[in-house]
Amino acid sequence: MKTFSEFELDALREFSNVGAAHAATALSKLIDKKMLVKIPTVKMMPVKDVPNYLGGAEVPVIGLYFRIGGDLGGSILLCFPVTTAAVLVDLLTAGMGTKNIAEYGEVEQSALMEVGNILTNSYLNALAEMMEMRLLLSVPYYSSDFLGAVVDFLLIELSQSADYALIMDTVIDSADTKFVGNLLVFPDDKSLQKILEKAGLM
Amino acid sequence: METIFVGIGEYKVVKTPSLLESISLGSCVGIVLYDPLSKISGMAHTMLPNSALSSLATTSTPAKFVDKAISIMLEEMKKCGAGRGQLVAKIAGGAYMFQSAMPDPAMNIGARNVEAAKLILTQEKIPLLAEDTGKNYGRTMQFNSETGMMIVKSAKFGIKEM
Repeated sequence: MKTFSEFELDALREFSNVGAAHAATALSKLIDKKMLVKIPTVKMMPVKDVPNYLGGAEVPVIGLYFRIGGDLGGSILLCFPVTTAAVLVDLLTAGMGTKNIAEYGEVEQSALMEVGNILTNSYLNALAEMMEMRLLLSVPYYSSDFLGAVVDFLLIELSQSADYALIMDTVIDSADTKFVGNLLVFPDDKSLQKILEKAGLM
Repeated sequence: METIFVGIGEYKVVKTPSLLESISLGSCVGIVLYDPLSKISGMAHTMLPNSALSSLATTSTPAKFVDKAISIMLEEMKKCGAGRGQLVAKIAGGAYMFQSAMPDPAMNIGARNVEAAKLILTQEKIPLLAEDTGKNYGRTMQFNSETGMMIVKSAKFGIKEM
């Protein structure tokens, strides 16, 4: 198992924090509510423990998956409970979207994918600037199901080359409105090295 | 009856009547092997089709690979006294969980997992009695080793018994 020093984990925490702060600001502007960014979590854990870490395999969630391209490679998963999805859909469709998650159609899905686009692009742009890199983001891939089923694709990707996952997670929430979400970034091995090199740690 | 959870990438083999459960399979595939006479049963929560395609030299969770999971369970079930010739199989999962304006067929690892499971079961001459696979939704799979029944639960279609 690959291990990281406390310094390296701190550098990755800082990396997550800068991105998440920008993402939260963008979201705050979009829905006109105050957003809070929790201190990012950066730690290694066995792949099988990830669903429990995120709240449990049986929690119904919306997941938005993105692929990172350009100077870094990897993926991003934005994941929020259906209660948060309902708040977002309500705000973004001016109350005209359906309340029932099972009946989410094109309008509701597009609204949520757009939130995902704005959040993840803000996150990545901030990092691109900090790292002086060119970073690109794929279109969003949307999934609405139980958490375990939504995240297993990501875990499968990691599992090809590791038994452990390096979790880089930031929780964004709000006192103003019922919002909570996890922004998880999974750089591939080469990209992790590049990030740590940029931080002057390797 | 005791419920035994099979986490992602894990497998369990039981000799006494139990409920084996894999929760929220997305692209993962749950594989059950079952000996109807001795009731010895195994369930694996697999993630990847083929261990030969992995860059891992060693792994602490070999059952994450479909091929390894089946061979490990066969070995262990044989040791417990299961009759090799009478084993049967049931599988569930292997969905493609994402929707997008630009679908990426390379992301359909679920289909490759299902294909790998079927191929190996055929090679091992183990009949596949039931499957609920593919499509775009998550499933929880439960297997009753006393009755040999599999229950597949999903948000979309409720409970299916097979």
